Amino acid sequence: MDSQRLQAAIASAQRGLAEGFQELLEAYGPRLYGYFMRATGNHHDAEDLLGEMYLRLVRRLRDYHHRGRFEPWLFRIAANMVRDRIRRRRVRPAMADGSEDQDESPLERLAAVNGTSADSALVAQETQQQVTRALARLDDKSRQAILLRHFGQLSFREIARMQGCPLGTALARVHRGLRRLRELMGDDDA
Amino acid sequence: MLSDHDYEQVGRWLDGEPVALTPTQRELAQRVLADEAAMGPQLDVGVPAAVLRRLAAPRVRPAPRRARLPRWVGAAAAAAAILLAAILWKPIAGPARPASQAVADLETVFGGTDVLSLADSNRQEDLPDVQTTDLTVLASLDAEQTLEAFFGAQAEANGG
Repeated sequence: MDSQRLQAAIASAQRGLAEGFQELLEAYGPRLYGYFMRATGNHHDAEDLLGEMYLRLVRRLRDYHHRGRFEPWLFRIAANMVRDRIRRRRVRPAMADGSEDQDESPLERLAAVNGTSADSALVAQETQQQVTRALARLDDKSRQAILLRHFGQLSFREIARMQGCPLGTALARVHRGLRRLRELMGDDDA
Repeated sequence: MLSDHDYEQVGRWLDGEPVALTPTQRELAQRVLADEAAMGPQLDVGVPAAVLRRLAAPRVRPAPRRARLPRWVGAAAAAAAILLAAILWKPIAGPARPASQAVADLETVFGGTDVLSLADSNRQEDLPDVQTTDLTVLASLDAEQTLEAFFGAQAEANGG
């Protein structure tokens, strides 16, 4: 979404118009969902958090002052929600055992999302679970930095500000985290 | 061995700041970019369309618009209501009578006995041998009798 359109969508949503929220949801919904999914490890939590995020957006968007970058504000809220969710549960769902979606049909879900056959969905599911397991083995800060970088498209400075650390530390977390992920995923180039 | 300064410089460069990198720092930057490119697609998660539909459906439905009628409809309705009330209104107190007749009726009811004035005169000790309570009882008895007479007459006048 280009800057002007984003600004218009934000202004529209701030006036309480459903169209504005709808546009923001279309633009950021998939990325937020991905962030929630990777951070919590399961689709149920991701959907639940996305719904909650929408409500928070409705409540808090009035206080937002657009200065060019919407993502840091949006993903700070998302990161806080994930932190609260994990803290409330006292365990990290799926992160603890590396499994996900035990009570739903991930194959069907993947096939439906990607429009693929059950075979390729099976492969995709295996990869998904591998990523989830690998992410679970990272420390919290590195995992958060990687996810904020990827889904939030935040700069290292913005990640550093969010994590309260020097810019170089934010980069080091992302760099080492990604290296570790590639190793865990069996990437020969890692 | 990379230092904090190296990471700082590379981070700023990757953020788009105009920073001159050393060969070591440049190598680090290339590795970070390669790692991001390799892992990015694997991190991606497809969001089921149904999720977005479910999320949007109850919220983007436009708020029901309140039916707004022209102002003259409201004014006409108010005028009609007043007119209707005026037509249907019936005085609760019965048919209007001249004030003199009403006073006469009251005198008939209470027999012209002014209990209050009697009590007042007793307070002024004009009648030391008569107590206020006695006068009240006497007046009440008188009034009861007069009431019976009045309502009897009214009943006869109304034919029942």
